[in-house]
Amino acid sequence: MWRKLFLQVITVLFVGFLVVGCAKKKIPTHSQPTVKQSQSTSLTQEDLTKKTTSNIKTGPEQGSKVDEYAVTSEEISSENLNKESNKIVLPEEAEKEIKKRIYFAFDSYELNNNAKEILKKKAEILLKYPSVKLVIEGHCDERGTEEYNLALGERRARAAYEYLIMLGIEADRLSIVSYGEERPIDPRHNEEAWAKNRRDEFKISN
Amino acid sequence: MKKIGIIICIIYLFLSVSNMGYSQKNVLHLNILEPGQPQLNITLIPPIFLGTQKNYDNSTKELVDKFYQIFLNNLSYLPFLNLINPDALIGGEKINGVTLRDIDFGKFALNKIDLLITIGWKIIEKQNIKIEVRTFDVYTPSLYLGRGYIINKQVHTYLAANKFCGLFMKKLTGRSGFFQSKIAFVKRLKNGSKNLFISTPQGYLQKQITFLKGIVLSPAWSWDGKKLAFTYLSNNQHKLLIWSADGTIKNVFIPGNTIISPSFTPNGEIVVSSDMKGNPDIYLLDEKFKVKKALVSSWAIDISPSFDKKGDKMAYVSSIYGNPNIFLYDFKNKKTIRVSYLGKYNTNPCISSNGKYIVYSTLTDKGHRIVLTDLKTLEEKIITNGPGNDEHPVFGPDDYFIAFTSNRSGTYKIYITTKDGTHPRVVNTGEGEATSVAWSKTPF
Repeated sequence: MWRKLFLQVITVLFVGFLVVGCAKKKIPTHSQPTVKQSQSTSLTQEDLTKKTTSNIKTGPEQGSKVDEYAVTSEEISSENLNKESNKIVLPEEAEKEIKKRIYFAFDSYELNNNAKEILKKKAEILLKYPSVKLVIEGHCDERGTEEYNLALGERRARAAYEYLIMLGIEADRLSIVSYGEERPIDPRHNEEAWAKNRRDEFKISN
Repeated sequence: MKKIGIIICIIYLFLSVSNMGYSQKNVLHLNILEPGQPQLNITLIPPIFLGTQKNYDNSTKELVDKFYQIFLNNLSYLPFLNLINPDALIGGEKINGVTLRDIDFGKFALNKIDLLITIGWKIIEKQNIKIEVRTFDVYTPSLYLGRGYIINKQVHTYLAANKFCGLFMKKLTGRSGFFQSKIAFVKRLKNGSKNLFISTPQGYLQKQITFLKGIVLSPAWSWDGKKLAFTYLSNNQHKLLIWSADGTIKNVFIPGNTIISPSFTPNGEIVVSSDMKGNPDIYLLDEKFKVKKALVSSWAIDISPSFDKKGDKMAYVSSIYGNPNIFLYDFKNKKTIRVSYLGKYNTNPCISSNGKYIVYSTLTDKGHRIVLTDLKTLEEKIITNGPGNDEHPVFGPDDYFIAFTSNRSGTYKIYITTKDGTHPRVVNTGEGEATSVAWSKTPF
């Protein structure tokens, strides 16, 4: 009798442990956008482009986790693995809001109040459309130097990334990239242009 | 009387010996790393045909003339030489031949020429051209340096002129590398991509070595000059790529989204900044490109590592005090010191091979300028004046020349100057923007 009861308790505890363990896996444990595989390959220059493309298609952030999301039945039909129907279409207003840029002061990656408001609106949309993923691009003006701007662009993208996570967006829906000073939207060399170029851009990724 | 004669003889001998010492120490050997060196007057006589009859065609003559022009251009890069046009010499440039016995050195001494260079040439078998170059010390007078080269195509003219000038600089200054080394730089192409090119520091023998669709940034040579590591930005990803002299490119996967400013240690390991832990920190990779350890790690931006030849010192950028500044880590005593105190934005450090100097760029009201810091005294000196931005300085293998990028002409180009900031010369990189210069430390 006691032995049977003991076995039942152990079984319940074991099942409970499994359930809790599995549930934990759904929660992002850290806020690192993308961790690449630690391996090296020798490539010809032509292969490099192919390999890059291939990595993107098979990388962990690219669709292989479709089954892991808690989605409604309607969303299941919109997220099947057929490439054509996989494209996410947001309402025009929502897309406009998602793509809205945020701007920074010189040599700064601090989010100002305006940037925070913009990010809050993005978070609302992202929470409403859980299949939408974002690439956050960090950009700088031309006044800094190339290498430091690459780092500063990273910090700008990461500032938005961390703020969105704080607002409840899953880390694996966001990725960041720094373009440093490589992609100015205003090519002029004055304060007005520099202010426009110190920015984060937000791209929807499928 | 006899005693007086002996004394006069001793004084004469003493003066002769001391004069010779002066000549050797102060005229024919220059310590270019110390300030206040004299300029030597030098003249290069146009090539003299040494054959008995004209047995060459125009293309042969053009090759010899090309060699002369390259040689002349090479000498113009050396600010411790004052090139005198032979046409301007009193008594004319004419010499009877190219050897010691053919030259009236008195005429050149009268013109205050310190060094005289002659070039003789003739046709040997199979239409090869034999070129003999001689440098004479006018005041001794004696042969200072002589070499012969056999050339038959244009690329030989560059190689021969560079070889001789390299030997000449080594003999004159004890420093070498400028004429034997190569630079790598990034050029923006018409399709919007940025790719890697290499050339000599004067812009000769330029060659595109990557043909990628994205953006190449921050190339760095390995110390043996056989590899170039660089950041590649494409398809929303940063990659660490390593180009080898056999033309292959290795794609190195390391954790992190942002890969910045790779560099080689003197023993061939790669050091790179990555944000694998949320901030750009500086990591040392092992021979399998796995992370061995963090060299600099803080809450701030830590990038741009640069090493001296012994690997004892590492200069880098950190924004740990709020703004980017230059720091120096000493591996021996495990101490870090801040090196830059000018302005609020100091980036792109490069430590000299001998570990005595650091160059970096500082942001001023008028744009970026190049700063030289003496690591013994920590004295900082701005060595360029723009206009525009002077950025990304790197030492040449001799620790004397410095290459940097500047948009002083309206477009970013590569310039060569010295650690004293003298005589910035643009490198002929062709059409389009050229940036991110890296200078190999070993001859090729």
